[in-house]
Amino acid sequence: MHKNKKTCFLALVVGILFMITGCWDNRDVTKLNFITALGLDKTPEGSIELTVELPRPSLMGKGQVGGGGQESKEKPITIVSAQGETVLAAARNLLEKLEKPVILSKHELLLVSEELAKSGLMEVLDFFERKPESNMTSQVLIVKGSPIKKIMETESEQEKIPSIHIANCITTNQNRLGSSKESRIIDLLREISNSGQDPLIPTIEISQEKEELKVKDMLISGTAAFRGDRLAGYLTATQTRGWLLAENKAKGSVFTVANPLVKDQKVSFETYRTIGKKEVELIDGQPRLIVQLKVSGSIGESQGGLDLTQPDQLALLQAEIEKTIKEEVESTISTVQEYQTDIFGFGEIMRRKYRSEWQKMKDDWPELFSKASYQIEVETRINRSGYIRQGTKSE
Amino acid sequence: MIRDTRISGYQLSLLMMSFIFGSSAIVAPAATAGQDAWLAFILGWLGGLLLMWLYVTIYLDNPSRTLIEILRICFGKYLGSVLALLYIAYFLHLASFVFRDYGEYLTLTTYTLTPIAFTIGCFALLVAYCLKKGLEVTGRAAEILIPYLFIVAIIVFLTLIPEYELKNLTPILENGFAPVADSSLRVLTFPFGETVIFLMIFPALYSARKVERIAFLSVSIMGFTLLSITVREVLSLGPDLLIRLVFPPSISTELTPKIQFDPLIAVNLLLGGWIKITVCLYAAVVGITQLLGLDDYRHFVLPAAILAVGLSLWTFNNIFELMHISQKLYYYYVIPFQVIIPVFILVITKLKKVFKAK
Repeated sequence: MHKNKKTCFLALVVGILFMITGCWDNRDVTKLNFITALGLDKTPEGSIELTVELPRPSLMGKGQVGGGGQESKEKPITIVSAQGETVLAAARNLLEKLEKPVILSKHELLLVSEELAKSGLMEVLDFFERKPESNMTSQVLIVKGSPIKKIMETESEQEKIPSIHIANCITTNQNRLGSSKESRIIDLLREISNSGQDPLIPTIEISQEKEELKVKDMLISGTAAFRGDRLAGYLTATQTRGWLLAENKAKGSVFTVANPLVKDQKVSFETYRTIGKKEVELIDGQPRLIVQLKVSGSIGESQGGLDLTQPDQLALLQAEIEKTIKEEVESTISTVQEYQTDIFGFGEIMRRKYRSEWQKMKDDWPELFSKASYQIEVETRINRSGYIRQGTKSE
Repeated sequence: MIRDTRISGYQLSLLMMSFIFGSSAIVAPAATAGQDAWLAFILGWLGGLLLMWLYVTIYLDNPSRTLIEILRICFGKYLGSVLALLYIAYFLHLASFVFRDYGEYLTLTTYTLTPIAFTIGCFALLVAYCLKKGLEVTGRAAEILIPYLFIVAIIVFLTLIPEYELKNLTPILENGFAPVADSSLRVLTFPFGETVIFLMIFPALYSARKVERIAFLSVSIMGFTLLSITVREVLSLGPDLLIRLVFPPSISTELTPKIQFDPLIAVNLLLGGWIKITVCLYAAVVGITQLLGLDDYRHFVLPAAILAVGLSLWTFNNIFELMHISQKLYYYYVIPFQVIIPVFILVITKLKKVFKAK
């Protein structure tokens, strides 16, 4: 009995030894390719083209190679693309060109071409929803006017990996300038499936054609409005800012208004905190969209001299600022009404406020939304004007 | 041997709490109600407290007796044995269910290429070892490991705070009360009603009176924990995504930037699943042992474990069958075991007392 137990135990140990040598799911980090950005495009034949940005770790740390201060001409990233009928098929076809399989959990950026945006985003987003370990917090951008490969081949002078530079640009832009907004894959999915809200995705385009494109030649400004998952139209930078204001997402920006006292001179108003409230009211069964903004900030720069200690000058300036902001938001609302896209989520507000009416209205909401009347109220507060009350006058 | 097993009150409460936690955090039983999942969960939880009262009362009327013995006392030797056999089969089936849930989650998220039989088999070996060592050892191991379960739940809850959108909870009862009722029935039977299994474990506690307090405390604490997990899922994912997901925590944990908490959820599942399966199989083998009038249950551990593994692989062909049955049919199947028979036991025990008094 004892001998039997010993042999059994030895057999078990040997068996386990065999099992430890190879793991089914062993994924060696050195044998994987980490992707930092993805680009999706549609070919004329109708298949999906997937482009990936691969960082090259060996070139990450070095800016100069060789003696004599010669800079390394090699790029820190590589761009590879492949085609397939679906995103997953394209991803597998990539392996024809790569020596190591790819891992998707660390990408920061997803670039989608205009064509794909026009034919419907869900064609490609299903892959991201379904795949375990895909990064749901990566930023999505719509590429305007150029092929995706060109945008992805740009270099960055500030970061080794250009896609990180671009992703950071978007965040900084939303917080400081207001001409772009963050849009993560998961937010996109939620907005697409919601009948009362349409997605708004930032855009990127080349502003200066050059031989060797850098990120600074790109324009990461303006957004694309979608109806469901299809592209409906574009919003300019100021219209995007109007959206951010209404959505209570504008953290800080600069509004340049005409100096009310001196012709052709401008005053820059720098905002720190804006509060935006949206409401919908049903008047005689028709929706009325209400946006209320409370903007507070200080004068950052003034051309033409303005003495704000005079209350009437202050009031004039305030009125000018309020007019400018109101026009911005009006422009945004009327444009999206034309596109029939409810990017503000007024439908969502309806859904919570007028529950039974919404059930009847939700199928026709794009049309009802486009015909709805709107009302924008702006309240401005000028807190300070920097160190000086009045600028130096030339005598 | 069964008579000598003694666990402390603290260990029993840990066993109960991690049993209730089980695979619920992964499966999210209330998810089918969308934004009203929290409401469905609370209703199911209240029902669970009621069921716990039922089980505790049954136990207090028959102190120091396991469920099998109670069945035989109430229904007589022949009918009682038949019902006992059915309960043992139920416990084994439950173990196989949890094995499958556990295996499917790991295969989906992490071990995509590993055959599910291997994953489940490794786990089963661990559970079998625990059982061979006895309930006391398992209790002591639980004392060390289970607090980690709560720590993880708190960490994940707190780190997802930036993602929460309170408007995901509204509009309340958008689709009427029917999905909430359906979901709450599901919560009631999984996991709260499964605590009927503890009627096999209660005798291990020295004092019968303490059982009442421990049982209610455990159900309350773990109910609150699971409620917070349900609310976390609704707030961070939103109703639409929640309903469509197979395992909600797998995406909600991806939402924290830079850090992925997915492995922490897997460890939580491991801890909860381990205790749940150990308790299920323990109940099954102790039941068999008592039914046959034997004393040492350790002979039956390995066969029961193998049977549970086999069942887990055989009962469902794919994850869709698993989801369909657990969402649509499971609660009908378990109601006799969790509600009907215990109610009968209670009634019969009370009647017997009344007759004896006469």
